[in-house]
Amino acid sequence: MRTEQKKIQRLAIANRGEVAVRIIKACQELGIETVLLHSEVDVQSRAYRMATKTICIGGASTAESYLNIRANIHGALAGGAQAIHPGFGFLSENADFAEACVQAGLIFVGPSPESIRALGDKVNCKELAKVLGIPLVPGYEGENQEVVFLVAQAEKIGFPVIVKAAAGGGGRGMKLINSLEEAKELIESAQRESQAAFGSSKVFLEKYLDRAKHIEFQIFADSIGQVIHLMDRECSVQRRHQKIIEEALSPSLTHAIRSRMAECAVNIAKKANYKGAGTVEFLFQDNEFYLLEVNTRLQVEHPVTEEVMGIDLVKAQILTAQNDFVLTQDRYRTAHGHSIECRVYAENSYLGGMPSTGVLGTVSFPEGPGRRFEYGFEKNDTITAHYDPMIAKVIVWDETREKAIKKMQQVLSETVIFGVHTNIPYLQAILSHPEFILGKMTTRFIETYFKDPIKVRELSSMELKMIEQIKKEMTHLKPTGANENPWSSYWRGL
Amino acid sequence: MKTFEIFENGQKVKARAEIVKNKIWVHLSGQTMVFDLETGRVNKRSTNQKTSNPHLIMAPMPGKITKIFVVQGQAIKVGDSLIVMEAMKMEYTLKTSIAGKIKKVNCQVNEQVPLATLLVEIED
Repeated sequence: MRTEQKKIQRLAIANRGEVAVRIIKACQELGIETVLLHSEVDVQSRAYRMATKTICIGGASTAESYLNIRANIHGALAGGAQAIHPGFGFLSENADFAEACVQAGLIFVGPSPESIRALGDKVNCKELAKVLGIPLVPGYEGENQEVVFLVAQAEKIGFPVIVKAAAGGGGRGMKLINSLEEAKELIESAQRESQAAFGSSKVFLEKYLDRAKHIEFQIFADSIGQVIHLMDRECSVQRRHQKIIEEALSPSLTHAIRSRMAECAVNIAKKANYKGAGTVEFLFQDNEFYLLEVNTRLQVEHPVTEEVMGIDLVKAQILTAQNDFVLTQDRYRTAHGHSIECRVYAENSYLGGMPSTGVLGTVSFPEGPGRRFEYGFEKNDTITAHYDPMIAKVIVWDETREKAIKKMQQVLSETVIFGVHTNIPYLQAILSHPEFILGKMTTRFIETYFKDPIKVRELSSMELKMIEQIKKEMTHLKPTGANENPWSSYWRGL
Repeated sequence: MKTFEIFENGQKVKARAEIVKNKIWVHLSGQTMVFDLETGRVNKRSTNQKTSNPHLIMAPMPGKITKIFVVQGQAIKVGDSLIVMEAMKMEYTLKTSIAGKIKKVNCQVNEQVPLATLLVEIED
């Protein structure tokens, strides 16, 4: 069933931040021009500077811009694009958007609207899994969204229960309910968050496994419908159900379990006539696995798979959209070495993760072999409260997990981000925790060991001396803010 | 950005520092610190609910008010939720650390508030 190839000359990006940069880079290598569809406030970003063309599609609020289907379609058409890449988050798993693209004559870089409906809607996905005999976590996934009814269902499932956005992902609209007393408030809160983040307040309930690992399989379906898996990632280090550290492969799977899970992942994708990149997420506890959800899009943590499998997933997505990507037998069978990703969030580790906004000063990453930096903002760019706090991803590769952890610690200690607080101190503490080093962490790792804000390390006498010297010298400098002229410091040095 | 180095007993300490928006940002031994330019005081915590007056509930971050649970004159107990705020697409619930009565609610649903805005006043 080989279909006609359709070369994309120009591709629109319905996203922002580091993923927009990632897509632009893939397009540059493929000789494709880019149109960045951005909100009014997002004009100071790396993607804005890198894109061939930029089109403002609406106001700062996501409802007016990044979640506005009409505005994105109009922007893409006005920009002369033949295709739209939705990135992750925002409209990436919205079947109506995929359909609107098709109707407007645009190629949606991703699966068909039908596949998204079958897998992306978590309720439909579970129905499909049941048919295929894939194990599921007990829960309620029905249409009745009355709060009183949902509270009763939660009680029936037995606490702890998790409430989730049916249309969502990435931790938004997701809450853990520990008792009947807090059920009503948390369900309402999840419905509001879901409405704000995804434009739908539909939620569902699920029993919370208390010592499970989060393990997911990267799947890929090529232009002619062949489906393969690209091994697994472990993302057990999560806070408020938002992933913080991911790695490939998971240190916890035996060969036998890995094969069984991979088979389930490939089967569900085949059943839904999948196309392009997707992720099948599982919870893994006591050597049993349960399907969590399928994400019908690129994942934030895709780089760790790319590092160990030797594939460029974004280029593969775009080529598949052009009907120009056919998998050859045995090309992606084995993983090589170990890769870890740390998400850098603009938040204050010393204040328990309070969002931190402002103008960035220096942003500097220590380059080197096996080190990769995906970032969307540079010096003088503003981090606002309108969007996600993730400002960068640091990815390392090395021969073994132990070496990769050491490399990550080194890289983070040399990473400089000024102007906003980051979670780097938090990441550093996690990477040195024995449970993480042993690979034994579960999804409760953070709430168990990192409940309190990170404590500030005591400084040595030499370090204190250094600080005094810096303060003395810097306080005498005229505060020129972030827009310091580089030449002035050059002349001062003479 | 300026680089600083000091040597002592054969040991080298290297630091990088920069002034951004009236604050000195310092990166030293793998750690980033912030100081106020005028006072030189450590500015690790620009807002800290714990040390501030528990009778005054301030916005711990810039963001939008999405829900208000209390009205003027309402009695509250320790741990009650007062306000839900949204920033960076995440919800944060502000709770009271004391029991008392709501003296005044200074914000409205859907209002965008800057950092440290006084949202709710509590009286004993």
